[in-house]
Amino acid sequence: MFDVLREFETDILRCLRCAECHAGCPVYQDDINESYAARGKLRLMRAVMDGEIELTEGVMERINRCLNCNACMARCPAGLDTDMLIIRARCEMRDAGIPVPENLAAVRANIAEHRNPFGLPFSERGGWAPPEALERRSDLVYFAGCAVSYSQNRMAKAALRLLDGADVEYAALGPDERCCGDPVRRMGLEREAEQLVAENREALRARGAKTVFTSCAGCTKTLKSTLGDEFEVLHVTELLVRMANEGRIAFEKAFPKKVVYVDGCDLGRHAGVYEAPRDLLARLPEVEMLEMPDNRDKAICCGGPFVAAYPELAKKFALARIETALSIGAEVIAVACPTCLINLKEGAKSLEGDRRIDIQEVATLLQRSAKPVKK
Amino acid sequence: MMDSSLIDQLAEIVGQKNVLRAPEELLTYGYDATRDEGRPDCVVFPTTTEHVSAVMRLASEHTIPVCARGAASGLSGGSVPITGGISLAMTRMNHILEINTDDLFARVEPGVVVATLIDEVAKHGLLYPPDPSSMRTCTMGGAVAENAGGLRGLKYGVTKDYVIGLTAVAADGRVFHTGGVTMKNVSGYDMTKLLVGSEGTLAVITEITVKLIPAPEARRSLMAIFGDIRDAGRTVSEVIRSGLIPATLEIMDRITINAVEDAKGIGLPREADALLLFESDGDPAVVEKEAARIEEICRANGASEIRVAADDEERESIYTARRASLPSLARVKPTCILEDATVPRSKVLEMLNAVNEIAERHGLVIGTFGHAGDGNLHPTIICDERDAEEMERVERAIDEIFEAALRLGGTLSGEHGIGLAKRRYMERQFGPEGMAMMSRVKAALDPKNILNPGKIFEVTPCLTS
Ligand SMILES: Cc1cc2nc3c(=O)[nH]c(=O)nc-3n(C[C@H](O)[C@H](O)[C@H](O)COP(=O)(O)OP(=O)(O)OC[C@H]3O[C@@H](n4cnc5c(N)ncnc54)[C@H](O)[C@@H]3O)c2cc1C
Ligand code: SF4
Ligand code: SF4
Repeated sequence: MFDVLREFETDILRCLRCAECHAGCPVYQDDINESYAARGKLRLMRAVMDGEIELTEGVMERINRCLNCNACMARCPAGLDTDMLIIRARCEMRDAGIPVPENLAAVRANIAEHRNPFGLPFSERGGWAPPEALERRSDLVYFAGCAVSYSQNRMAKAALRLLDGADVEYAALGPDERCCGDPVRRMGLEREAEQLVAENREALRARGAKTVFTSCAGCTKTLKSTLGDEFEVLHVTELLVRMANEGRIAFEKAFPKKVVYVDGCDLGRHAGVYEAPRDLLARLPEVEMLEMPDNRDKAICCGGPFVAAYPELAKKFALARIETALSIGAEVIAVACPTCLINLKEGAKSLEGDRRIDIQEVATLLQRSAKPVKK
Repeated sequence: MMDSSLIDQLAEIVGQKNVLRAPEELLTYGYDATRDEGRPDCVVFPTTTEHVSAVMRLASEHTIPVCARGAASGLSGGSVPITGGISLAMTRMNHILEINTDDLFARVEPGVVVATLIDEVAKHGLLYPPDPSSMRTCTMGGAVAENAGGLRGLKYGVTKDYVIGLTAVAADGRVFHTGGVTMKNVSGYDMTKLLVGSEGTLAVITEITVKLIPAPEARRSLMAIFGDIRDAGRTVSEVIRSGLIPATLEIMDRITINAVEDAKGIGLPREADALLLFESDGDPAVVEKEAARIEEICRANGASEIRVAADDEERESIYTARRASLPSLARVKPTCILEDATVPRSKVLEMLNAVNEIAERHGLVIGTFGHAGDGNLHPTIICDERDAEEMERVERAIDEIFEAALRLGGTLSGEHGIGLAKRRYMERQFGPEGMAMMSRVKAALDPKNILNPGKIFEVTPCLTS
C-alpha cells in the first residue's frame, strides 16, 4: 500500500523530525496529538509504505483529517509538501476502492451529477450577473466559483458592480461554469477533478477568454495551477488593484475602523496572493490596518476546508482565529475567500456583546467607501 | 510490554482522553529529531502535578520505564522511549501560570512552547533570553531538561542562567520544590541546577520559574564576509579578547553559505569562505560604540565586506541567512546529522580546521555553522541513511569530531545533551570516576532506574559503582 509514495521516498526521508510543523497546524494544536501533525502523518505514511503497519482505520482517519492548508510546509525547514503527499495517499486509497469519508459522499455525488457540491441546478448559477455578461464573448471572463454562485452572491455582485460602473467589459460563465475540481482533488479523485478542469477549459475557450478572474480563493488556486498555462488567472482583488491603479476606482467615504485582513490558505500560501487584498483595504480613507500575529505565508487556517467533513472542528478553529483578531483589537475581519467568510461567520455565532465582530469579504467591504470611475 | 490493566489504571488517573494506546499513535511517539526510534507501550498526558505524581507512583510500584517528552525536537534522542513503557507527554500542561512584573519572573507549566513565553513577556517589555532555533515548537520542560541555548547565549547565557525554581516529581512519585522566586538563593544544595540539563533522568519537571530581564532598548546587527575562514576565526578571538560581548556572534562556513544560497537565493556571496553575524544590544549609545568597534576589528582582520542592517527588515534578512543554515543543508541530501561539540572560544579556528580535515578524510560533505562566540559549533553531516557504506564513514567521522573537541579541551555537547547519541563517549570525557559520581546521583534519586533509562549512561547506574 502507498506505493505511489515510493516516488517521494527521498522527500519523506528528508523529514528532519524537527517538529516545526506543529506550530501552524490547527489539527495538531486542537488536542496536541502528534499522530495528527505533519511529522506524525509522514511517519505513518512511511510505515504503511514499508509494510510496518497496515492501512488501518486509524491511519486513514489521520490522512483524512488534514485541512490541506499547507501551514506545515510554510514552516518546514526541509520544504516538505505534506499536503501533496496526503492527497497522493488519498488517491491511492480511492484506487484501492476505499470510499471517500461518509460526510463527503454527498459532496462527491453532487459534483458528479450537478457539477457543484450543493446539488443545485445549473440554471441557478449566475442569476446575479448582468444578462448580457452571461451571453457575451470577452477577453476578460468572470468565474464565480460554486460557493459564490450559489450562496455568497453578494461577493459577485459587489465586484461586478465596480466593473460595470467603470465600464470594464467582461463575460460571466454563469450556467456554463463547473466546479473547479478542488473538492474532489482533495478527496483523492484526480480523474474526476481533471474532467472538471477540461470542461471549464472548453467553456472559457468558447467565451474567448484571455484573462479569467474569480471571487473564490480555492478557484484561484486551482485555476492558476490547472489552466494557468492557457489563461491569465486573477483573483478578483488582483483585478481590482489594477483598476484602482488605473484610477477606475475612487475611494471616497471614510472607513475609520480597525481592520485585520485574515489570509486564506488557498489564496495566500497556495496561490501566492498576499498583497492585493491588503492593498485595496489600505486605500480606504482613515482605515487602520492591523495584522494577525501569524500572517501571510504563516497564517493559520480558519478551518474552512472542514466545513463538510468535520463541522465541529471547523467552527472551533474559526473561533480561535476570531479570538486572536479580537485580542489585537480588530473591529472588522476582512477575508477574500467565500469559505473563510462562511466558516468565520459560523464560528462567530456564539460570540456575544462587545465580543461580536464584523466579518466581511474584501469586495463587499469596499462598496462602503469605493465608487467606480468611468474612463 | 505493559499489561493492559496497568494502562487502564493510568487512564483512571489522567482520564481516558489523556492516554493513547493505538498502534498508529504509539508509532508517532517513538522518535525525536535524531534518527533513533523506540516504541512506548502507551502515551500518557498528565495535566497536573498530581497526575504526574500518581503516574510515577504506579510506575515505580511496577517498575515501568517513564520517558518524559516535550515537543520531541531534541537532537540527542532524549525523548525516544528505547525501553518501551510510558511516554509521558508533557505537552498538554501548557499554561503560563504567572508573569510577575514586580519581581520579574514567570511561572510556567512544562508544556509551554518557549516562543509563546518569549512573546507573552515581550508584551510587558520583558525578555526571556534563551532562544533556541527550535523555540517556535520546543517546550520549556524540554529546554530546561536539555539546558538549551540559543542565538543570544554569548551575552545572556543559556536556560540554566534563568531557571530559579522548579516543581518536580521524583521517581517514586514524591513532589518536591527547588529554588524559589528570589534572585539569590543559597539555601542547601542547588537542586535546581542539578535538574536543569538532567534529560528526564532524575525527575519529571512539572512547573518552572524563570527570571526575566528588561528588554534591551536598541540593537544593531551586522554581517562580515571573509575570503578566508582563518581570518574569521581570528576575528572571533579578537572580539572576545577585546572585552566586547555582543548578544550574538554566529559563523557560517562556505558549504553552509552555498547551501543557503541554493535554497533561498538571498544574495550571500558564494565565493566567501565564511560569514560572521553579530548583534549588539542594550543602551543605544553603547550599542553604537560596540558595533563600531566590531566593525573595526572585522576590517583589521581582513573582512572583505561588511553589511550593517539599517532597519528591522535588513536585520531580519541577516538572521534569515543564519536560521536557514540547517534547513538549507538538510535539502542537499536526505539525511542530515547535526553535532554540537563545543570548544573553548579561542579554539574555534582549530575546531573548524579539524572538521574540514575529517570531512576530507572520509569523503563526506560537512557544513559547519554555529555559535562561534561561545565555541559551540554545529558541524552538519549531509548524507543518505540508505547508503550503509556512507553511514559507516559518517560514524567514524562523528567519532573523530568528538575526539577533536575533547583534545582541544572541549565537550561533547554544548546544548543538545547526551541522550542516546553521545552516551558512549561520556567516559572518554569524564573518566570512570567522573561517571561513577554521576551514576551515584542517578541511582540515589532513581534507584529503580525507571526515569528515562538508557539515557546519558551506557551502563545501568547503581549505587555501589
Ligand atoms: C531545527 C532544530 C533547531 C534546534 N536548535 C537548538 C538550539 O538553538 N539550541 C538548543 O539548545 N537546542 C536546539 N535544538 C534541540 C532541541 O530543540 C532542544 O533541546 C529543546 O530544548 C528540546 O525541547 P523539546 O520540548 O523538544 O524536548 P524533547 O525533545 O521532547 O525532550 C528533550 C529531553 O527533555 C526531557 N524532558 C522533556 N520534558 C521534560 C519534563 N517536563 N521533565 C523532565 N524531563 C523532560 C526528555 O525526556 C528528553 O530527555 C534544536 C532542534 C532542532 C530540531
Ligand atoms: S517541519 Fe518538515 S522536516 Fe520538520 S518534522 Fe515537520 S515535516 Fe518533518
Ligand atoms: S496541511 Fe494543514 S492540517 Fe494538514 S498537516 Fe499540514 S498544517 Fe496540518
